[in-house]
Amino acid sequence: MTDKVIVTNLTALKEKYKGNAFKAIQTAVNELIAADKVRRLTTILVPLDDPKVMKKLKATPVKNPSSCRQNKKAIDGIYQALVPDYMMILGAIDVIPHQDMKNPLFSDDPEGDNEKFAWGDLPYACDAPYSQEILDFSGPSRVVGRLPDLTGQTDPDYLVGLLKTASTWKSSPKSEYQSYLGISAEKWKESTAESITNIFSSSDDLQTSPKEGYKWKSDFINRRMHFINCHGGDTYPDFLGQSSTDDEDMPVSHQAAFLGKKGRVVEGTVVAAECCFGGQLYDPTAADKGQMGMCNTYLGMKAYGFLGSTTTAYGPFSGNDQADLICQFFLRRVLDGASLGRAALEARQRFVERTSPLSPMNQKTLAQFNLYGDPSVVPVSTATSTLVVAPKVKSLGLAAKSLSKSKAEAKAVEIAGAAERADRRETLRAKGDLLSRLQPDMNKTETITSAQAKSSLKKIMSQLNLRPLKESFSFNVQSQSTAPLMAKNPLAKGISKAIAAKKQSTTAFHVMFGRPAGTETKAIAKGPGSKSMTLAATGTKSAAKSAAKAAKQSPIRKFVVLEAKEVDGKIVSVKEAHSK
Amino acid sequence: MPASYSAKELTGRVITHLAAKGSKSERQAVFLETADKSSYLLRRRGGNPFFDPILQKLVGKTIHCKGILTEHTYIISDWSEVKG
Repeated sequence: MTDKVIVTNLTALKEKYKGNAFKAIQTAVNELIAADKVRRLTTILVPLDDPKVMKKLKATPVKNPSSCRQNKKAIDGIYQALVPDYMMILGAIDVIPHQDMKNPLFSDDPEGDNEKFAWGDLPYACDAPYSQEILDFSGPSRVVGRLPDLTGQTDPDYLVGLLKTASTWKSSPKSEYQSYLGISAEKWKESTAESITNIFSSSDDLQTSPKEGYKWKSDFINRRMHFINCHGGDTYPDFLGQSSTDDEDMPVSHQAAFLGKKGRVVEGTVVAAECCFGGQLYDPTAADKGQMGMCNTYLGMKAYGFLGSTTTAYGPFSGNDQADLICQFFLRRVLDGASLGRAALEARQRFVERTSPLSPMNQKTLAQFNLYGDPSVVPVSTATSTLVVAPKVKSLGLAAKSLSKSKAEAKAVEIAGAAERADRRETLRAKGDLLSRLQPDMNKTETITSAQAKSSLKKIMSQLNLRPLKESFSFNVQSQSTAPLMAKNPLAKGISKAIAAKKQSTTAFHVMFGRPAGTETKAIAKGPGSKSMTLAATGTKSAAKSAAKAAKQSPIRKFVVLEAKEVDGKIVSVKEAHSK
Repeated sequence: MPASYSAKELTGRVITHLAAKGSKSERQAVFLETADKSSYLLRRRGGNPFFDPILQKLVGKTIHCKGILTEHTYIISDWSEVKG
């Protein structure tokens, strides 16, 4: 029985690492497999480009390493054959590519979201076959993580180092993970404080940039949980803050080169970064001074895991949505003692559950955030009530941690641990399947289809002192009854039928871009940061009034995305997403 | 994203307009607009991707530049102003 599968493309790896460099990586992989064995995990390496190995698994080998379709099919075949509890993708995007999911917010308008794809590993965590539609992957069910090397680089030391960290990791008590380094752009501090409070119960230690950063004192940088809500850029190693009163004041808040020096990051650190491009695996030669990206830097400094985005991310000024949610869900699960991979899967599932039906912005968020790190690593050790039936009765958590040399005890722990994990995986698979089936189909139209919706959105724009721009589109939602998914006894059937009759269904999302009226000049903010909110369609006057006032005070809010939810033909709420 | 980048030399006019509207990265960004009306998000190698005063000074000018083209950004390492 295989517990963990490491998938990689040996042809692509050998292209990068010649001779002894490749051998060094092979040795490090073997050491990881041996270390996993001591942890009672049976791990195997599957080269998805090897026809013989793949034939044995009845899977289709990858012929073209850069083909998203081929890689997805190969990983699906391996997963079906071995049903591992953990799947680790070994290598960066020039070994196994991120999948090319179409960005639902893509626009040709140079002022809009110009990213054709929301790249990511989400499809590898789903049973649905290759597709470019994010909605086909709304039911993630597999525990997947990626241990990336450096894109385009040929020195094996970096990857060997990461594999060594994956071989030698140790769980620590929860108390070691309850203090945090939290960094926020000053402009978004309200939203970040809410996220951090949701994770750690207090945001007293939140740091804002400006004025703080990037030379964090050891008291902060040495903490094991890092939550970062700052700006990030394409092929750019650092994160940036932003003043709440001057948009152009964007100092470096977190610097990869600073982090990359010894003693700055404590082994075992876990990071969630909301920042745009925070999880982009770019070739360091494209960056200034050859600096690798933030994600690669953290992992190179022995961080255990990093959750970050490949592309431009979304979120509100205040309150929590999109990137805020998926990042906090991840860290909360890590704190509760989940493996990194399970924490990422549960974060994705929770995100779908919380935001369903997935709006265009939330679809992109789901697709673009990825786990980097060995998915089987369990950073936080937690007590468990399960007792292992071995020569001496012991708590499963403690017995698993002690790595006993007693064969009988080791076997008992292995059996008990695997049984618990199998139960969790079964539940997660069922939940993923259910989430996928609950998600309605959506069709994008290049203009807002409903005259009533268009008129309502324009009215709301006017109430918010915004002028609508030309760009707008709709996603028509085909909601379906959930009754067929429910229990079959007559009482349950009857209740499901009654609920279906009572339920109001989402029929569309309408997206409109706008800018505050009378603010055509370059953004120089002098007023206070403005609010983001979900407005009920009725009773918006006071909110609109304060938003309009804020817009006048703060000309930085020149452009806004309004995402309206239509239920049974009527707009019931509007989400206002600003540049954060 | 594509794993590799291409080196590119381009000539065009430096302009500013809003980028990544509605996202966490929304900003007035600097672009290079070429004669065929193609538009490239411009960044100076080592420069702040959100507000770079050196690039701001080039706005309105026509420049010839050398750099690399990523999926979303033209990162320039060398440039000269084209007069007349």
